Amino acid sequence: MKKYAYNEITVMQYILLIHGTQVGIGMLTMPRDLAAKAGTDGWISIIIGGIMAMVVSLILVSAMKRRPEMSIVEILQLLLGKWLGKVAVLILTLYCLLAAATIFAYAISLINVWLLPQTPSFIIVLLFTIPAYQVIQGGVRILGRYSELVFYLTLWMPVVLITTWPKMNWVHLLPVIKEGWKPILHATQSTVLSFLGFELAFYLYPFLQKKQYAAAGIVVANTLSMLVFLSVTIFCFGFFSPDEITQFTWPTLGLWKVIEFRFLERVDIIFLAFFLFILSTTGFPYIYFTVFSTSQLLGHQDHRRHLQIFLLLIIIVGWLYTPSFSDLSKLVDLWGKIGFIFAYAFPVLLSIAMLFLRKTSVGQKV
Amino acid sequence: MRKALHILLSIIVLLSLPGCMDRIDLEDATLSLMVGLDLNEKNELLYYVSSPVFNREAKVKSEEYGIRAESLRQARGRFDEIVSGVTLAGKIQVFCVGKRLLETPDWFRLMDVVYRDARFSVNARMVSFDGPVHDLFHSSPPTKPRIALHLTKLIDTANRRNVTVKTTMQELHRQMYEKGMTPSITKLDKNKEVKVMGTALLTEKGAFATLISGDETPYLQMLLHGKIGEISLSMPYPDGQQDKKIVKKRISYFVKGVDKKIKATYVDGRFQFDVDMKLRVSISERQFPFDMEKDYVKMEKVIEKEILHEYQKLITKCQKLKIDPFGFGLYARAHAYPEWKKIENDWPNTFAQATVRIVPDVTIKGNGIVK
Repeated sequence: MKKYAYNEITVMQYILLIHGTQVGIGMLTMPRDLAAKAGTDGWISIIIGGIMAMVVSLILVSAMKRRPEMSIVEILQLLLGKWLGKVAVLILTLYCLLAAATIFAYAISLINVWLLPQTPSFIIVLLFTIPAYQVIQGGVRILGRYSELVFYLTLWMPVVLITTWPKMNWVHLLPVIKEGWKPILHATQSTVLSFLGFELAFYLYPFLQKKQYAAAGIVVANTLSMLVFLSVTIFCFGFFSPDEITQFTWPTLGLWKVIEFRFLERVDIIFLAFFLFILSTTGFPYIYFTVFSTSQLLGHQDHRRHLQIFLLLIIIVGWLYTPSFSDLSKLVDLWGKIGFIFAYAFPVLLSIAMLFLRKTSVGQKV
Repeated sequence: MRKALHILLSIIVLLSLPGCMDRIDLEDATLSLMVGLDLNEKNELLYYVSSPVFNREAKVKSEEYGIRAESLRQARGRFDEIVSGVTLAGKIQVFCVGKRLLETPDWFRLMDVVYRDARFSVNARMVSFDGPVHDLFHSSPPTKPRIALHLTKLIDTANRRNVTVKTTMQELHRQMYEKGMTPSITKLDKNKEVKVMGTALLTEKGAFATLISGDETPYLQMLLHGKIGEISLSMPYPDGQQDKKIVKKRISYFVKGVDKKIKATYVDGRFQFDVDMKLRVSISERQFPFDMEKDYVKMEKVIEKEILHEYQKLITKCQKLKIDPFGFGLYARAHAYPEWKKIENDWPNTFAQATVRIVPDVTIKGNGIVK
């Protein structure tokens, strides 16, 4: 009898859940960060970053394969014993919480800058929490369906972006590899944060219906995200001058601002409204797995009570405190650093530990 | 209980909606369609705004105001003291800079709010006006629509025929920050009617450098963008002794396609640009008899020579003034990066020393519908 029989996700949902978690705030700032570090060679860094993410993803999936029915919460307790395991899960939960909080705060400040500068942020928080509750209370299956739906809903974006093609100056991209590989490798760091999200496969794996596609699925998800980042970055590099692009905080939005149709000006406003959906597919899984872990830790079956408390806390925090833009960039930096440990170092460690685990359990049988 | 909770929740949501404090009704808004910036004799900054009036009682359908202020944001406050609605900048179509201001260095810094405030439209056309901006804003010819809409259309259609560039505020930002090129914007003038004068070429800092006419602008446009819109060129046929005649020997042609290849090299301490231009043209006007079927190669050579001549004139002029509106610096960066890196902050001076070799290659594809 499968443990998550009523909450399984299809391979498509699994791919788009991971993809949705990856494509988030990084998409807006990435071209600027890359241009500042590696000039217009920054797109090469995305490919390197993508390959790194794929390799680690595969290690992660191979680790999870050894205990296919177990969630990471149970695996950690099995590995480290009851108490130490709980501490490890708590750390993991805090990481998810950090990610969720960062995305939430970022989304709200973005609306405050671009769309509604006069509206107090706690009202936006309030409006955010309601759809968040409705989606997340349904569990992984609803989350998966939601991510899939949002993916289809945003398929028009690349088509509209293509309309900027005649304004591109591809000569900006030359010469390829201007200053050698050093700045390119240096800039790869900035792409790390954007590829974060595949580490949620730790949580997602037990829910996956057809586990034989887990490895292929995660590679597809990473490739998809890589293509999105690549296209956005290359378009920004083509449009903005290499000397100019570092002047923008969100070059991607600047690019959308230029698009204009006879029947519609300010396409960026519409893009931003849709971008909130994209951001929600980044934030919701983190929120879900925060409350999922805490409810598992406390031995509760239903995560909804925890979700209610969590969202209530977010409203209260949003009411009491609005992060400034420098707080936000610190938060994003922090997430990037900690995320690097959780997404890249942790799977490798876990994979080694799992190897060890199998040997001892085989030994016990004998 | 559950139902009551749901109802309560819905009420909270509904109540928070009017909390969106950025809501604005159209009748409370003054949409600035055109913004002007100028300098008066006492070197004080003047700001102008033109916005449409949506009111049945108002006789004139457009209002124009000018005030003194020190920044665009300050000016907005002053405008709010005069106009009936709230001044909004999201719909600006034309952004006009007066001649006197354009001659001061660093005027571009005044534009900061345009790029900083996310709600500003960045697609407005940049215009330089020859004369006091006041004249432009307060001219409303009875045969024309609202002045802002008239200018928008005027610039767009003039750009379609390539007699001027269409530099938006966003594009100006790019040209100002790009080290490898200098900006160029539309130039307007007004005697009785507002008229497109061609293109104003600016220096690296944004100050006015020179004007190129509507006849010369297509050459700049072809080098910048290849073929966009309609390019129609006209030239005298070099045949001596034609000055006295009333009907001169002239030939005009459409450019059907431009393929340009720009190659930058660094030879003997200076940059060298080889521009390979392949033009497909179609004769649209010929005011003299000529046997095209037999002598079309000769005609191609004549056109090539004229194009080369025009480019040489244009480029020498720019090099003398130390400006590079063509963006040759971009190619210097692309093809000779190590040398570019050394001089990137001093590109206009380096460009003045560079050699530019243009090789036009004209193919006559069409001869019109008569022989």
